[in-house]
Amino acid sequence: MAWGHVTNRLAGYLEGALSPAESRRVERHLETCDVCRSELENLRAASYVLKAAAPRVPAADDPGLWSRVRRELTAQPTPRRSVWRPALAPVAVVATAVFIFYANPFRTPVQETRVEHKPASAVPDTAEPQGLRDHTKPKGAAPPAGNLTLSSPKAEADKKPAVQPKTEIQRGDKLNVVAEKPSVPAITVPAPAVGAPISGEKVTPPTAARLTRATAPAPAPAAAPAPTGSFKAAEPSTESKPLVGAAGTSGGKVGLDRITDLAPNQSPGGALGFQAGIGRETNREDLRDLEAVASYYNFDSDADRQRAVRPMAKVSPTLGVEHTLFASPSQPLSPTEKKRARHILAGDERFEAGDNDGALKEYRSALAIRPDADVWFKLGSVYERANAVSQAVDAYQNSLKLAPRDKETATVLERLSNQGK
Amino acid sequence: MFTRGRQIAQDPDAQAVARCRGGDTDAFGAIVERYQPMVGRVVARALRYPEDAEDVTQEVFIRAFRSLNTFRGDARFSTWLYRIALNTAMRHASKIARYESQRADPQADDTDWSERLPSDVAESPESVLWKRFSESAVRDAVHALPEKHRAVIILHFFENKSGEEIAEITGTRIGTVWSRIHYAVRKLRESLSEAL
Repeated sequence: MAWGHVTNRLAGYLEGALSPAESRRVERHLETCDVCRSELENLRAASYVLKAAAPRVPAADDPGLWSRVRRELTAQPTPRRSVWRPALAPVAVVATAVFIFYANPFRTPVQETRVEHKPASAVPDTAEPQGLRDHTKPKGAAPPAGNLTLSSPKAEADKKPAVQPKTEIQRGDKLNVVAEKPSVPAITVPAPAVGAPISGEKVTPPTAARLTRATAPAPAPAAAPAPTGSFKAAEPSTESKPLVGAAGTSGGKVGLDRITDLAPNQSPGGALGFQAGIGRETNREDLRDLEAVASYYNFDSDADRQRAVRPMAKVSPTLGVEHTLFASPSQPLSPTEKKRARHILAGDERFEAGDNDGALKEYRSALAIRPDADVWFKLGSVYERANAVSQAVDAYQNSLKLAPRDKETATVLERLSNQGK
Repeated sequence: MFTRGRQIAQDPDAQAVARCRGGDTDAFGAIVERYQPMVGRVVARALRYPEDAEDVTQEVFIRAFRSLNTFRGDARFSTWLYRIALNTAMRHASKIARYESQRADPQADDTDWSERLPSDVAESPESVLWKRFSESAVRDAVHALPEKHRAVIILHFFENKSGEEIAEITGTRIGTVWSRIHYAVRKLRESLSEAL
């Protein structure tokens, strides 16, 4: 009886890439092991079929490519970080203080008071104040077991239009935190309660904190009006750490690059140097590329690689489980995020199996733990396939609010809009 | 420092990158021209629908430009760019697959593998099974794989990359590459068999 199967070496054996000694060991094993022989036959047959199934690619000839790329690039800032780095250091200090202030779980008594006295004040996921990222659930969702208190869905239905917080920081500006009245139309958010029927409900936006240019003597960040919140953290959450929680979502780009620019590029693997590149590109797609780059340069050790991807995992934790192509599989995630990722993966499986209800249930559960653009997009996909167009539009809109630069989502919305016409 | 300067002087990619970092956007034009065929090819092969390649190729170069800060020059620029191209295309394919699962396959579906498989493998039990899978079904199954497994299938079988090259591109050990290829092929066989 053969022992020590060689299946993990068969691809290398077929390619002729194994050392002579390794090849001999594989061959000796194949002589006595039916399992590995069968696997080798499978791999050989698959190799021919897969190579023949490779898409036939026409010769690339796109003379207009550079002009199109250039047009896009000239509309964006060039990657000359060295010019901005020193000048933005003071901005980063203030921004850091603002983030720490909003992310501080012990600041919640103000929120708690508002919750107690104004239970109808709900906060849409897309309108949370920057730096205080709600790692809870979207509107109408059943409270997660644990540490969050939500106002009732009925109360939420009375709210005002949602607003997308945005950040405008110019070089040399002083920062001030002010309250901003909602100004954009309300969105309809599908009720994410597990097991709920496909339906939507109107939700309301809160007052939003916004970083603006200071036109008057700037009050200290701690004196700024507290953002409205219908939820509170009953206990300190590991998700409420400053900086990383706000970047990569809903326009909260106060410049993570600028903040981390304060730190010297001291990581041997370049993790901090990489991290410094996040801020301007804080949508999840750019993170993917940056993540790949970071892990590439941190390949020397798992420790370096983890150090590189950890900041991104905090920005978008599912990167570590669902989407990570090149990062270390041992990237640490909190138990809550692991649970959330499992819901997403289960939702994907149900979706692929054609089970709309099952997929909706899983995605809603993931959104209940922490909403993000990707899951809203997935939810929209399910609704769309179920011909629930209005709910699909709502879900896609929520996704777009969290990732405004996502052209794919915009394209889908445009297509659905055209269908409606 | 002297070594790095000499490398830049000899490497046209490094020269272009340095100029871009200095604010000369037009220097990126040389990179686009040089790598357009490579990027266009890998993008087309990594997409479920190669007709989307033009847009995605454009996106790859834009992303690469915006990520130039993170390119440190101690690895080949082509490898760095290749990875961004693969990553971008696979992400695009994943999104498309989510909501256009019923899109018509532009390729013919009347695969006759018996004419393509070499005679020395055409009659093995595994080949008999694989010959039952249509070309479009095979592509669909590839694009339904988890990304890290899809990547090795695309690179190894579609792009004819060696295990060593795949390890360099994906930043993994070569043993991991072989392992992923084996696992991915086994998953493909299972999913295709279930669909029969």
